[in-house]
Amino acid sequence: MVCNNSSLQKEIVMPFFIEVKRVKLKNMRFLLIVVFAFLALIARAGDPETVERLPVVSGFVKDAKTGEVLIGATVYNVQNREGTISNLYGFFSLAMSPGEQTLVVAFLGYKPVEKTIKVTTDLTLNVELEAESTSLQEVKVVANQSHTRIEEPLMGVQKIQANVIREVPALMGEVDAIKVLQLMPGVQAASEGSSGFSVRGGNPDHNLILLDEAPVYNAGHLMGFFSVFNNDVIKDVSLYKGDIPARSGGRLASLLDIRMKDGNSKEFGGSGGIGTISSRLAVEGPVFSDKTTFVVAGRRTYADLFLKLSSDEAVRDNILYFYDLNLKLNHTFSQSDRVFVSGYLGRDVFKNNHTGIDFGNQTLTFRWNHVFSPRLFSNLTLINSNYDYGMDQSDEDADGFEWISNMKDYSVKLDFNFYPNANNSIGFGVQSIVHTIMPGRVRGLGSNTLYNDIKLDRSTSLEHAFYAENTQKISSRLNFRYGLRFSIFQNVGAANLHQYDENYELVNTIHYKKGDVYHTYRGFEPRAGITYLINPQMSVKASYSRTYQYLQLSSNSASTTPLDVWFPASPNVKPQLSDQFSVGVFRQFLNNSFNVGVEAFYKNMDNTIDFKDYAELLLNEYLEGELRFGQAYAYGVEFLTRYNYGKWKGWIGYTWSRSKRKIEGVNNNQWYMSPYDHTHDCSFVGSYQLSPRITLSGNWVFSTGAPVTFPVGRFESGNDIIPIYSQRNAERMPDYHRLDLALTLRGKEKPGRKWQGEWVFSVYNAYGRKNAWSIYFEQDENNSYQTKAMKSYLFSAVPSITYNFRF
Amino acid sequence: MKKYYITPGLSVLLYLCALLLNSCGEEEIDLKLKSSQTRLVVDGLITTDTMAHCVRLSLSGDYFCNQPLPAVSGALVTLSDGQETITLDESNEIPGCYYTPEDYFGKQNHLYTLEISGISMAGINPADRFTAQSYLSPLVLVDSVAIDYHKIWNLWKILLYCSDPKDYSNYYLFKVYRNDQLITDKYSEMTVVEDRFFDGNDAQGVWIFGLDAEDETENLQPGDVIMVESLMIDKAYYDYVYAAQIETLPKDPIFSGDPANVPGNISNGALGIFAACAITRNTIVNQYSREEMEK
Repeated sequence: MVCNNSSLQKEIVMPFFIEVKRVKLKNMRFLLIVVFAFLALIARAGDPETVERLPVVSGFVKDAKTGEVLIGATVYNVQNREGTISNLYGFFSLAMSPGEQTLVVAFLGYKPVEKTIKVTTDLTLNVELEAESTSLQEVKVVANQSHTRIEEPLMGVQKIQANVIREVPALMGEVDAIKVLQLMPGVQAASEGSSGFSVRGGNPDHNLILLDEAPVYNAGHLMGFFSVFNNDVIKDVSLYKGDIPARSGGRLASLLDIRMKDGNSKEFGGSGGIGTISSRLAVEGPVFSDKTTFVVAGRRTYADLFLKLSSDEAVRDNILYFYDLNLKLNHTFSQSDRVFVSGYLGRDVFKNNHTGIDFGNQTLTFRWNHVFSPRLFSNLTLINSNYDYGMDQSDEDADGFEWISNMKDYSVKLDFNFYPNANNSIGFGVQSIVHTIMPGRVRGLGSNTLYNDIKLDRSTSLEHAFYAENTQKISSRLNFRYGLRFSIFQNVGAANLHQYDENYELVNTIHYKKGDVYHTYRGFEPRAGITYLINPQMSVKASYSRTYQYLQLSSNSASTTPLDVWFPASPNVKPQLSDQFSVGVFRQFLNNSFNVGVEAFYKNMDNTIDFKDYAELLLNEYLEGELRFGQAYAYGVEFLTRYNYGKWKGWIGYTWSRSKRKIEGVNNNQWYMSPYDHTHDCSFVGSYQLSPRITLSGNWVFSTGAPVTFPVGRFESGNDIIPIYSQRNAERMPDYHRLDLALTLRGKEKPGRKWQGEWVFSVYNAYGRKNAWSIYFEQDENNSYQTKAMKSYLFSAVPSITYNFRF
Repeated sequence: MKKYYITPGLSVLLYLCALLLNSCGEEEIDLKLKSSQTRLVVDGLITTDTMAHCVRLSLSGDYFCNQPLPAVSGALVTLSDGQETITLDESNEIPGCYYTPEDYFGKQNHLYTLEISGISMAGINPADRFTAQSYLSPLVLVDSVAIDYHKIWNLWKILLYCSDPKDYSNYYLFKVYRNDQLITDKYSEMTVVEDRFFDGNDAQGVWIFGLDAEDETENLQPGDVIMVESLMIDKAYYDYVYAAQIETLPKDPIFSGDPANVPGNISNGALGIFAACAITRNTIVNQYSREEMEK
């Protein structure tokens, strides 16, 4: 089968190489043009003297107590009603007319600051905001604090603060950002208790999950019951549901952008907790001076200690735990230069005398913020992200084996924010990523091992992107955002490219040398949004975005497993493509104590990937032959109201949606439901402050059961009864609903004492509904002709106690 | 073979997670299922043994019909080995079972064709003809089998010694008899193997079966005679048994893909399988008791 025949090489391989060279040259030319264009822009912006312009007020918005920069704070010029938003590093830049101006700087959960400044020339202004006290008397809402939020031409963004995440009742008391996001409209857990999630009918692998800009390829611990994100070190969680900013790409459905704290620059402090299954501790503070700060946080489960109590010897001998370690260090050289180094290390370990599995992510991010001029901010990012797993069985006989798989990303990214005037905010940049994936290697360990070593080829690919985007204020009522991303994906040798015929049978294999770029995809990804402000309390928005996805997960079950392997686009696998349109109306009431948003979306997807029946996804050199391709669509309406009124706060979300796909070679080429189609999905999330020291919180979720395939008949073969199925996913699991409750008791605050403690008592699934995790069928033990339907469930009521502290 | 790797580690991990969460469970539920049209089902196996081989015909039914499904009597069933064609006779005792003569045996490297027609049963068009073909693969001799014990999992291991021919895709199916009693009578208990992972190797003790020492019916005693039946099967039968194993075992949402119809090789929309295979048998007498093995 392998094409090692020299005449074949001449006929097929050589023309291919020539094509590859041509493509390479073409790309190089394009890249050069783009780079020059950027350089020209920077040169102009970096030299303000050459251009006549208004003075600019620029600086950073920070938390007064910790010195943490605040992402997305609004800076608003009261006189001429112009404003801007602090960027991902807390930087803002706003041009204003000379004279006395009043600036209001506001951020959700903080007391707004009003500053009157005399503007004559460019001015640096760092603003510190104080967090609103939790005591009841001061719970009031400021009218304009989310002023630009309603104006911003960006839709489908869900932003959650760490303190909100902390208040939502959690499974085993482990507060978890992803679990809270799953309570938002348009976001669904991939399966019960899973940290995998589906956004607007997409697959879990359609979400780009970034921790300090480094992709996290498996965000779940244990079997996904807990996410890898330790809430103690999270500063900001933003989920972009399809209206992904042009600076990001590579996934169809969403961007989950998680930013770690930079570390308290004012004083040394920490937080932590002792929980039912794990304990955690985070410390942060300045190093020598407030110019350098650090954060270190760790978490480890000790649940396996309980296994020791088991009467079953086979259970007692097991070791099972996971841990997380987050580190961040940053140094401010000057007002215009700051560097950050952050890392994450997490691992799940399971071992006993004869077998073991371990898996985990490691990420490392280096960032350098540089302010070229008051109007030009830049950030250079270097990223490394790894995911790997290993499994072994160390029997000494022929059955022992070791199985490993890993993937690595190296990436460099350069982003600019340019603020030419008060009405335009431009972002542009470039990114390059090297992906290497080693899908699996198994080797026998015994001296007389029986198995041939299986070693799947390591795949290498390059992903590049260039983007530019502008947010433009056309009038006091009309805001535009328009951007373009150009992405390029290249497969690089050494590689064995398998070619398949129309029946997915292997016909040929071509070998490429190391370093050969043997296939290239490229595409333009336009992103645009518009907002029209009907009145200061109400706006309508519309947006469009196109996204390409070049890497995907080979998983054919509803929930992902740690063994799933990512695979790249290739000559056999076209990149997945999504076009999403959305419109929405947003309104705030009662001085913004309530705000309501309704969004409708329609998403059309092409080159959708599914798998043939009984596909073999692991350790399969011919994985691409197991894939089937087609198209998909999803549409729906999302309703979200957030409230913060007196002693009550929380949100109510409801989604009505549909998600279908049609794949050649699956379900007789007929349309069928995506496994992530849930017609109705609603969640009520709330907390009530009983007294300054006691908070009650709860959430109730309901969703239509997931589509599932059930038998419609049976036949007898051998001594078995074999089911007959009709259409794929034509039936539904029972509807899902669940109530979680928590009671938080805070310790008395005493002047002069830094230590603050709180007890959290929570119950997950309070009324103990046995929600079906799976429904399966089995033959009766006594009468083999009798079959019955069985349901398995994961959780009845799960109580837990956690003690959290802060010092 | 994938299952072979995954089963030990991951299933224990899953089990431990469940144990930790300590609140999972399962229960029977009442579920209404839809019906589907009645179809012919064929279940036929021809081997190199000299005997009356049976092709069983029946009908499909509702999933929860909970009784034996109707046999198809009075059909015309013929079998060809490429040279001669014989007609199978329906048994008087077991309706729906069509037998070859008692001196019939399958020949290696022959393509067998089964044809069925003349069915007059509700739901089947009497004019429909159903055919199936299966290639009787050459025999690979098994050198021997052995018995071992896995102390950690408390399993009796049945091991196989043979040489797999190189550069030929071999598919094997194994069954086990204890004291002449078939103890792997269900698809999920049989073992099917393709030689992709050990093509051309000497199989020096491949673990083909595990018998649970803690299960009275499976625990071996000294003196027990273990016979392993090795069948060389074609790809269609391998795919059929592989799928039937998946479809008759419980599913879980983490590791199971979507359910699918077990692929057969009968034409015209009929279900089931017709297979021709070479067969060989190896016997071993067990020497030790469980207690002795655990020492």
